[in-house]
Amino acid sequence: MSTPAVKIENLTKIFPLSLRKRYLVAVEQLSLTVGDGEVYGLIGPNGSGKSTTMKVVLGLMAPTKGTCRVFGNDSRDVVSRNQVGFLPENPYFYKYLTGAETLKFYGKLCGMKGPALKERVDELLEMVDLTGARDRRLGGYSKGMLQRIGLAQAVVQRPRLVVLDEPTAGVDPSGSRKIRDLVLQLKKDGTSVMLCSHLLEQVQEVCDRIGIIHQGRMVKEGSLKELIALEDQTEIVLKNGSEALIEKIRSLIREEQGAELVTLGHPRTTLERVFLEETRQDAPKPAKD
Amino acid sequence: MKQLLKKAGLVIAILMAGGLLRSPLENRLETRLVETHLLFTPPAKNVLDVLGQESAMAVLGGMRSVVALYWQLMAISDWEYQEWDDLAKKFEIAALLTPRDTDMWIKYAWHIHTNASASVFDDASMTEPQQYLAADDYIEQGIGILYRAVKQMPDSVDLQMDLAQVLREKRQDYCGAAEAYKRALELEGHPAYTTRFYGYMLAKCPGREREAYEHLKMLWFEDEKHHMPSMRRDLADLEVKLNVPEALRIPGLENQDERFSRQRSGQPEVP
Amino acid sequence: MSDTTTSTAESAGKDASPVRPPLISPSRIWSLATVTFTQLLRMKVLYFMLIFGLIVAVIFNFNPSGQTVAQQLKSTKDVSFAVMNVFSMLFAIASTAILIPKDLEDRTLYTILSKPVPRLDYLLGRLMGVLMVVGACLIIMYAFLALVLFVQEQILVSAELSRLREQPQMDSETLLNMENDMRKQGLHWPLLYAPLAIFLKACVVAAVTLFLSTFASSTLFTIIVSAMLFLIGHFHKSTYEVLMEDTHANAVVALLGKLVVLAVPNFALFNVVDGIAAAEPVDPMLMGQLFLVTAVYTVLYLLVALIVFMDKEF
Ligand SMILES: Nc1ncnc2c1ncn2[C@@H]1O[C@H](COP(=O)(O)OP(=O)(O)OP(=O)(O)O)[C@@H](O)[C@H]1O
Ligand SMILES: [Mg+2]
Repeated sequence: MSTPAVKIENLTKIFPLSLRKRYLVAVEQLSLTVGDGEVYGLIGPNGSGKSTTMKVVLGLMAPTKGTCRVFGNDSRDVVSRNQVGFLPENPYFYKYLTGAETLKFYGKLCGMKGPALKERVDELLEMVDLTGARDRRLGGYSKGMLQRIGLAQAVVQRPRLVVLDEPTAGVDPSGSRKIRDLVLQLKKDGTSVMLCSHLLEQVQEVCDRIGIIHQGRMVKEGSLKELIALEDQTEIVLKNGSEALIEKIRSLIREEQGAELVTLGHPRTTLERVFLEETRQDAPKPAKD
Repeated sequence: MKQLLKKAGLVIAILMAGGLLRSPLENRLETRLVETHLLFTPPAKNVLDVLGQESAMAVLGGMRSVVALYWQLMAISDWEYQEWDDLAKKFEIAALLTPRDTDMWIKYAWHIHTNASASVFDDASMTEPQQYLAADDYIEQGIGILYRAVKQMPDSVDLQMDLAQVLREKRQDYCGAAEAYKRALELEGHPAYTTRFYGYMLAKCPGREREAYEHLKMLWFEDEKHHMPSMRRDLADLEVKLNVPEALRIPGLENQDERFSRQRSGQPEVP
Repeated sequence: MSDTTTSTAESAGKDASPVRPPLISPSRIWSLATVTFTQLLRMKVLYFMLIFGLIVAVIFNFNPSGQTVAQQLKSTKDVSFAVMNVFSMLFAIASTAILIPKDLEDRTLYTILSKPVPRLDYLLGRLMGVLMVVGACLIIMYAFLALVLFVQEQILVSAELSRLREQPQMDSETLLNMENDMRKQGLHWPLLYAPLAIFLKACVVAAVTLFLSTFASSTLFTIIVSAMLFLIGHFHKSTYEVLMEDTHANAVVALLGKLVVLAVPNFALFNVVDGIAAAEPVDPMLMGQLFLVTAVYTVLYLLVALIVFMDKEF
């Protein structure tokens, strides 16, 4: 097994709130591993510490405690950035640059140059469907277009790990389907992806493994299969159903060709239900003195 | 928090250490720049007192010459309204800011010794003797300004020439004018006539007639281009004054030089 | 979606071994600088230049009574250099001050720093970009000034000479002297030292502003403090004077004065522009030293900026 794309161990991130000794614990004792080639989804309510975790992965923030390694390199070391691409939440790029110029700029930052870079820029514009807008300035781009140029920018140097912070925020359904396809494409190419999103169906669709984070702590983690029931099953949740009614349903199922009753008993759950379940406590965050 | 303080400490320490390292080089450079007249640092207190805040800021921001120019231009209206005190104040600011601007000094002095001194004769509130006294006062002031300028720039030919002319014309101070021409002679770029004028002034300076005669005589024999009508006249006058024996007198002073009189139609050199 | 990425990503991504990016990479700094340059230019900075041109053109046609030819030429230079000076300082302060906050606001800072870009490179690239714009603007403005000054010199001097020739008693030597005096204030090569000095000053101002913007809470704070330091930096000599004269000065005030003198650059040094405009002879050695002083200031302030910026979190 190769080194994991991301290995976070006991990460704690504390922000000083004001000059009076008050702190905000944004992330607490968080451990997670994104395997090489894996798509990892981090979900959690607003303010649960998802973006903070991602910034630590990218070295934009240093861990207060714990470690974070990207392909074995400490995330604070600029070396680890060779292998990473990042799309921040609500990105906004230099509005005076055109789409092509933007990609070229980020490519140069990664040390790319010459015809190879030019080729890569064309390829990326094609990939995110912005070839027609390549010479328009980003000031005139729509939110969806910005998100896509952001995605293209993140993968410009063909990184082995792509970190996406809410890649579909503010994007219409068809646009977000495109982004989903791109993520699936990355996965197919063997790129590891770490993403967070509020759109659980999408997370459900693309992620191999999912972590649910709440108030800075990992509350549940596992493969989608572990977290939710199988897709080909349908649950009927009945309340106060009489024995007679249940017997009637059984007979109906028997009449249906190919259908069989697998279980009868306490219901399994969907990702959404797990999510809501795990993050229900709306208790205020622990503010330590 | 502790880290923050540590960092702030480090930053301050580096800036201080850097300051200690660079200040010797910097101070030496500043002195040299001032010496070579590239840099001019007016005493800050003076500037603030005289200029007021806005101008002082502009000066400190590196716009000294422009502020000086501004005050010179402002002085034009004082000239129109004959407000000589206000004009002097504005030129004083300009002088403080650009003490090496020769033209500025000459203009400033000219306003006082010529314009201001002439204007007193329009002042009906004064009697005639009063007017003459006031005019003389202005002339003295103007000359004083030129002397200040000369002190700032002892190496300016223009200033020496202007000073000599003003002394000669306004104060009829031929001895002073002679000294000014003499200083101009020692400087590079003086006009060719300076040496003759020096002689003419000496000739009119009581007690220095002998010197004047020797000087003009030397010029006379040095080059024919000096054979000006004024020179003939002065030399002849001096020979009489000094009782030079007939045998020793310069031959040919009386008969006009044909070639020359055709050219210059005998105009005297000194206005 | 396109399938073109499939093969390429495979080959490039998988075998990439962690190569340490060089701490200072000229090409990376250059790309950051050029982006900054493009960004600032497309913000229509060039309008400034147009205004400058207009001002100089107005000066050219403006002949206050009683100005000698030399004075007229000198005022053209003085006003032009003052405009160049003000423009460069304002631009250096304002554009440097907005860069980092703007990057943070747009989250471009995240995307840039999440590439293999050492933070020193980021700072250097930004500073260089700003200075490239200042430099380009100075070149344009100087070219314009040179043209105006040259034309003005030709017109005014020849007019004055033909007037002087009419004068009685005028000999060719005097005429030559007077012409030399006038032309002394005209266009000469050493005049180029003036935009150079302005540029050096802008370097220091930009470096100081960059330092401030690494920890400032707002752009306005950066701009105001920067402008204050700029003005304080012109007071070095008088601070010394006051400290020397006022023996019973408050110990705290004295210490503060000393600290200021040590920490704040001596911006007054760069006012050599005045002397250059007045056609005083320029010693290239002294300009070399001025360059050296500028380099020391810039490196010093970049260093402290880096210390603050190094482990800054976003
Ligand atoms: N720079 C910072 N300084 C202080 N507090 C911060 C900072 N960044 C984040 N926080 C706090 O840390 C907590 C976690 O923030 P974070 O942005 O990681 O949440 P998130 O999970 O990304 O939320 P969202 O879904 O809204 O994007 C929040 O309470 C936030 O206010
Ligand atoms: Mg977030």
